[in-house]
Amino acid sequence: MSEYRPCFLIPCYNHGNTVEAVLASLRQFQLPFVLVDDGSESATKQVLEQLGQASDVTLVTLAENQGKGGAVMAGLRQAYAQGFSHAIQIDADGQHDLETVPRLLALSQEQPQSLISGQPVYDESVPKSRLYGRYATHIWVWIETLSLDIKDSMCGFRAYPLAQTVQLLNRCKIGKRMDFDIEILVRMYWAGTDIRFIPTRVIYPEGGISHFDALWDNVKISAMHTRLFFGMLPRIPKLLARKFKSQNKPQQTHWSTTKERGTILGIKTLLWIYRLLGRRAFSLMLKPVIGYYHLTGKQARTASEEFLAHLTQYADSQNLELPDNLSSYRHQLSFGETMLDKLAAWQGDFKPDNLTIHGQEHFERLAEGKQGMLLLGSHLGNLELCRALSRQNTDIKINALVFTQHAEQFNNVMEAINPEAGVNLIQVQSLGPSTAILLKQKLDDGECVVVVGDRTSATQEERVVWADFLGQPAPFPQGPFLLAAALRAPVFLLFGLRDDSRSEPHFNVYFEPFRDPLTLPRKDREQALTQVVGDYASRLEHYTLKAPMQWYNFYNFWQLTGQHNDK
Amino acid sequence: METLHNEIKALIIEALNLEDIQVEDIETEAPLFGDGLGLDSIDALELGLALKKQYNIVIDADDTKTREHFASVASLANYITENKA
Repeated sequence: MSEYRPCFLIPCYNHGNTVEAVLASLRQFQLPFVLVDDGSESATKQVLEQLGQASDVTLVTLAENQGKGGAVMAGLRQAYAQGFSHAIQIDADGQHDLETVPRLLALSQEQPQSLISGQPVYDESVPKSRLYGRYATHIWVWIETLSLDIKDSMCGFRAYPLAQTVQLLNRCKIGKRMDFDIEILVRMYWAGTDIRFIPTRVIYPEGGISHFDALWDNVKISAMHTRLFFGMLPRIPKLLARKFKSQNKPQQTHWSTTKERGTILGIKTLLWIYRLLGRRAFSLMLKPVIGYYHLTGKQARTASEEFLAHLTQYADSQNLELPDNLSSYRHQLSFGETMLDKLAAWQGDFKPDNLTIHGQEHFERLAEGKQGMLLLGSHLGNLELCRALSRQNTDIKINALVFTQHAEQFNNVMEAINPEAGVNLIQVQSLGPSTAILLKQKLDDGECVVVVGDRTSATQEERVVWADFLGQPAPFPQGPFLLAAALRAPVFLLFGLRDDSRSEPHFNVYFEPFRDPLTLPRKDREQALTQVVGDYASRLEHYTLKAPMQWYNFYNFWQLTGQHNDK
Repeated sequence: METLHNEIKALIIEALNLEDIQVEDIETEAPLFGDGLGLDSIDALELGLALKKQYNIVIDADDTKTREHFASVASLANYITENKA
């Protein structure tokens, strides 16, 4: 940042009585003003127009009332366009303690990349109902950022670094009403902005007007939290990586301890809701959230509907019975529950009783012989669960081979719950000779390696084998099967499916011999590969028909898109 | 260096079961994969394992580099000489 050039930003809606006094008391700081008239009535409009005459005031007039967020956003853009580096947002109703302004300015100047926000210390004048409402929001924000870094998200007394803020406004749509203050802070946090707080007194002045429309604003705020909650889920790795990164920086001891507690608390809060209220209640809570996601997340819904269309058509043609109530909403709900299963599994909430292992005899024979084996898995059901339980209950080491950079960070989440989660996660860029060497070592040591066989390579998508799946050819990756052949280890199939018919969480783990060893003779390699992949696809189909709602490939499985994600 | 070249050629033939091919048939500078000897990706994996076993070399996880090292017998020999543990 070249130069620190702040201005005051005051959104105003019918605050004609108070805005003049606020402006007057701020004049001591000798900074320019951006005043936003958010479609006020004529009395206030007159006051604002008069104030706008002054040489240090820029008046932005919105013809129609937008809501506080809309007004602040208009003001932020105006201030940025005028070349200011920072905007100091202050409410026009006089509820902010202006004695804090010098400290806010000083900290903002010292930390020009940071967003500085007031953290209210209330006096007796605050209505109790507002105070309780704030607690609920605090908890939501902690979950959404998986940290306690945001100490308060509703205080409208802030110093915004304009470049980052306007960039964010250009990138995403943010709520225009009371939801704005919270949403912008969470999104700035997600974007990597450092957020700092200074305590400030908040007064509810007599005669002051606060435009907090209890019902409508609470509805808006609930919708926003739902949106942010789902925005948080894919960001879990990044948010936690940030925590770990910030912990590595040399800091005063008490700060780093707070931060560490924050990380764990974020995740634990999710688990705590589930533990305190039980699985059923958690599932119930999940419903409206998934419902919202279902209505707004078009891509996943379309993919789910396509899958269900293939599934039902195939089942009809083969006269197969499918479970009742198949819907893309329930499909997505099932995915939400699986996320919870993964966390709960690493937390140690599932005991061997929660599990039925089919084909354990093969497993034991091999485990005794200390012979390593390759387990071919899929994105049907939950493999993470198998890994967690084997780690806790057996001596068998199951390594998971995963792709992309994200996997390592995703693992951080699991590690926060159980440090053992990361021990056997092997992260690779592609299935090349170096990967083969690494896995060979594990197999020679008598360990297991899980490789998923149902997602085409992100880097080499054209390397596929087409095999029939639910009555239509679908592309399967070559890599895992070539790897299995090169490693010459016994290959087993592994499926972990939740039994949704029981009230207690229960999982069926299916373990079946596939090839020992898997050979692809040079002479008819292509044909042998087609055969092997076809056999895998047919077993995958078999188990998919058992638990269609646990099919977690939310993209068009029967097409190559060039955009597959591995995680 | 020539001894190493022949050693690698013999290793390729043995590890990959190239029954009809002799050491003399493999050209030191010719590409191993695709047009030259015509090896494929499963051969690359098997060759990687065999090289690790015989020379105890560590192969860089960077895929593009691996491809360069595996280009020909000559490039493999250079890589082995540099990375012999």
